[in-house]
Amino acid sequence: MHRASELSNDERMEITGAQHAAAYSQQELQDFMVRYQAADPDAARALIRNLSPALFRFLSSQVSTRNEAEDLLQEAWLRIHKARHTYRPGEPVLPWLYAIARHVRVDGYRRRQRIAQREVAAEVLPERRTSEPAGSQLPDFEVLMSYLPDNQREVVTLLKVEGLSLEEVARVTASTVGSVKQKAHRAYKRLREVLTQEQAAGNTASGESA
Amino acid sequence: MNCSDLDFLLHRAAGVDTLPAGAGAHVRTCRRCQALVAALNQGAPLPSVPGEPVPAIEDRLLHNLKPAHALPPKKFFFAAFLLIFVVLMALGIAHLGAFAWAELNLMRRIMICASLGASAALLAYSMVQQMFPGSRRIVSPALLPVGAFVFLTLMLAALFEVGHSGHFIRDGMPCFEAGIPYAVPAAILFWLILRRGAMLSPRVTGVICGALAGLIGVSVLEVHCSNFDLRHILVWHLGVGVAGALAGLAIGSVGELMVRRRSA
Ligand SMILES: [Zn+2]
Repeated sequence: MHRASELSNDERMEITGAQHAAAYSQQELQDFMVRYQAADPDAARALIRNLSPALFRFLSSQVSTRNEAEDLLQEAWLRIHKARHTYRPGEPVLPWLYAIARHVRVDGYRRRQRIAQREVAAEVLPERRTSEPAGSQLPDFEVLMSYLPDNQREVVTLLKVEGLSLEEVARVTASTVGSVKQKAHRAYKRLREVLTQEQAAGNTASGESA
Repeated sequence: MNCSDLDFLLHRAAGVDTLPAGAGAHVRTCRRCQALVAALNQGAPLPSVPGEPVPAIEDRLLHNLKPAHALPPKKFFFAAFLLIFVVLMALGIAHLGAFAWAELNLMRRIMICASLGASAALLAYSMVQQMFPGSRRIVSPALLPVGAFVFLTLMLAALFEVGHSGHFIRDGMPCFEAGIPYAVPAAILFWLILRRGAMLSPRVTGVICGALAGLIGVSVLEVHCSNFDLRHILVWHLGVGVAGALAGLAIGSVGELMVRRRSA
């Protein structure tokens, strides 16, 4: 039996995970960014259309209304636009992009806390999942994430929802790979506990109803 | 393989079937891991972005779209920061005199140069990373200034001893006041370069910038002042660096508030 760190490259290649939201490869995204910097409107349009759904999902995870999420998306693209000269050709695009979007999200969250009392909740974001998987007793992903502190939730979301690698998440969160691994490890430990409790509660409930 | 070993694979695993043999075998026998793999792979589907924002974003960004030249390579900025550091330090030493240097033995000279140089290089590197979003980090930028000052404190404590040399405050204040003037122009020059980048966290950037600027004052004093009492060195010499970092924190916090107000 081997440890995870002793896996062969082939085994590592087998492990496919959540895919990047982008339909383009890393190389294509890099090419689009370089063309965007050179003021090519087609490249800019391709980036906006292709990456907006994933950015929207990332930004909407801490807001309660669709309007807010839309505002954050607009703000994120404005900041990306203003900072486009800081993208270095050849560097990965997604960590650069998410690092900027992450600050928009954090600023939006703090702003929302400040004006929470003045704001009247408008249209509420629709439920992420409309139905539970058949035969599943699993809690909703968002519900599970709510058991985690902000920094762990952010790391797990970037890894498992946005499909970024450990290295990319470290770049996005301005931390080291070791720190990301530690946060993910703590998050998985906590989630195992939560799921064990949920299963125990489920078993008790089904025992009582039988 | 146990539950913790599996954590290294969960980041990329789409389900039990996609795990390598050892991990898959563990998951099939461990209910806790089974539930975790299934729960994590529910993910969250890509939402459809409602009709209006994307065309509006396109209009706004593409209207009058101009070329934006990519910043020069990171090593260019790294060299620029270190050049400012060395030039201002040299000016300070030329102005105040290298009285301590003449009295230090070779061992102490090497240790002081190496520790100040390493700290300055790490802070300069981290400052460059602050300009480019999504940069790779070898040390957390928020912890680096604290780490640098702890490291310098330990180094100085190893090199110097507590002694009795005159009046602590009366003798110390002139050193502190002599070091600060080198930190201020350095901070201004650093800021002029930093503003070309993205500066996503003005507060963290402010602390790093202030610490590096303050370190110029520390370096000048280490070469100039021949008071080798450890307490004097830690408070009145290294204090210039700490003061720089705190000033950077204050200015960065104000900057962060202004950015947030502007985008509100
Ligand atoms: Zn002194």
